Amino acid sequence: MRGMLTDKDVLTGLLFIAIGAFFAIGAQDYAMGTMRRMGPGYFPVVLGSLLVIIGTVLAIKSVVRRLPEPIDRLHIRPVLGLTAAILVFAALVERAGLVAACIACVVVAGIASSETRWREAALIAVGMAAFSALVFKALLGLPFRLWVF
Amino acid sequence: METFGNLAFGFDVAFSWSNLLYCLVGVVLGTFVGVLPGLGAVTAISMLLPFTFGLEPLGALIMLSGIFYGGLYGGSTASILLNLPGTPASAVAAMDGYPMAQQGRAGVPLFMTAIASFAGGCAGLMLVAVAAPAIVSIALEFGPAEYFSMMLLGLLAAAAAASRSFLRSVGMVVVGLLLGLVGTDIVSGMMRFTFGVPIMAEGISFIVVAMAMFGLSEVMRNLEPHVDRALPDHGGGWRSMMPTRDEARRSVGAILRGTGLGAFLGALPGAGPTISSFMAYAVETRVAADPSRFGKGAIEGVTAPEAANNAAAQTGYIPTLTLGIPGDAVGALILGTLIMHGISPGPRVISAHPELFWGLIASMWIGNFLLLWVNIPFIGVWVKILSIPYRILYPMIVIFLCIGVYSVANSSFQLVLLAGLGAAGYLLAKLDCPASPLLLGLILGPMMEENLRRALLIGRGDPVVFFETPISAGILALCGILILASLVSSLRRARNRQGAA
Repeated sequence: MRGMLTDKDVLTGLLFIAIGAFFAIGAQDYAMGTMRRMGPGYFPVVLGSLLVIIGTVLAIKSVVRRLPEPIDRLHIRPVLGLTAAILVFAALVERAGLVAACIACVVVAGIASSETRWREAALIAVGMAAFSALVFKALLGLPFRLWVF
Repeated sequence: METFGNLAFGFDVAFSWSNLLYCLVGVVLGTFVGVLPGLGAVTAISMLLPFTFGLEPLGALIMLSGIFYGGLYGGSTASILLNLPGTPASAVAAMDGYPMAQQGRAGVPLFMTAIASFAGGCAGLMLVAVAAPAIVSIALEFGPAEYFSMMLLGLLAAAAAASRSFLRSVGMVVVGLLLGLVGTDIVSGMMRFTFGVPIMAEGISFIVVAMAMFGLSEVMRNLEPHVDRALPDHGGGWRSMMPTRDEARRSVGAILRGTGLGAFLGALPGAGPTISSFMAYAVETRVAADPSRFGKGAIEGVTAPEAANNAAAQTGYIPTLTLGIPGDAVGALILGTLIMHGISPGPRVISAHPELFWGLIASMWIGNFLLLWVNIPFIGVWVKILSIPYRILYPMIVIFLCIGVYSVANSSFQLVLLAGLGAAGYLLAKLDCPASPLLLGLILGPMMEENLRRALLIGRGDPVVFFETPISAGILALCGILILASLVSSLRRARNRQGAA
């Protein structure tokens, strides 16, 4: 029975139930309306409930079958490294400008892979900053500020 | 004869200098990302979408489409040389192409895929030019009930095609539909699920979702520790690109069969290039006099699937452009592009914007021709690109994702959304949940809700309205059959698995 907790179907089912319940319950604040004149709450409640049902069926089917198929190993390093890189870009692009954001983003993204060679990463960082400034700012005219002091 | 007049008009539009340039840029970029393993056409299109906002709608469509079918051409290169498909649709090309490469004859399948792709693409376009106007004349009669049923069928078919577990894909469609609800309700003007964040009033942009699910989470998976693959030694095989006379003869039939199958399947909702190429391969192994040759370097195993996936890529534009109902993730992105440029999708697109429809078709014809010249003489360049290590590539992809997402609304908040959805996409992929049904649900969600509400308003709240017209009733019957068939087949598979265990 313990193995069922890491089973792909059970986990997917639980995830669907959580998402469905979130939307169905969240939509309680919106007017349901009638079949004829649906309010803004109608569609989310119906869909959320449907997702809860689908999730329940998936999970129960798998528990009944008792043939757990465990989820593959989750690798935390690429997920954290890349998430951090994007958040760093988000934090810097308006406060410090495009150039600093690009350099910081590439360097932080380097954490995501075990194969990163830091000297190479530094070159890519500078190269991408120059490329972005040239292509996105100068050529395509996107509204970035290059430097902010 | 009207078709020829229209096509002539289309070529007139497509042959402008700027449109030719967009087409060339599109197909070259497409080949480039197609060649690179782990960077598919969907990723590339979503990454470059924000940069096409400034273009004319036609220019944007020409370029994004070029990336799509160019990616199919390039994808087969990685499949054949590395046994590492650049795009899912070209995975089949590896089955017989890679053995040929190992025998030192890589040039032959590379040359023949370019020819087969060209033939398939051209035939597919011919079908689009003839069939689209005919379908439009039927679709103009559609009311909200028909539209709702049609979208339901499209979503179910996409779900059935996307994964072996039907319930999972349907669940992902529903997640997409729910995400599509975020933002301002069109009917009441009420904010739904925005949590007081003003920018959420406009809803979750499909571009951010596409970049997170197909771009960022893809990079996360590619960075997992893995075994390195080296390029096989292809000797001096490049000079011998010419197939033997026997291979050329056998390819003709294979290309014709693949094209026919792909053109037909591509036009159906849900069945895109990937499925077409697998089916075409299966057909070839059935009709061959000696099926044992397959898997060891049979040329039909390369040419038929490649003709099929390119034909399907082109006919896939039929439902997207005539009904406004995309059949797969790429169709969904193309549809999203139309909406972004203020063109409301549906049967009126062709009559209201003839230059857009016929110009796009003509440009895809030109693009298929350009691809021959981009691919065959420069094959050596593409092989070099294949050897760029991923550790150099992925920081560049991340920067493109960041800048692209930021410029969707010039807001850092979208980047936070990208990071969160990317991590979620990684988890979903680990749970075998396919991302393309989610994207389709997200794009179709608002339209579906609108049509459902309208249909029920007309029908005075009675769901019978969906069964009153023969078209809507027929489509809903198809939906029922599809659900039953999918459930039965997944039940049977589960039983087999249990029997085996």
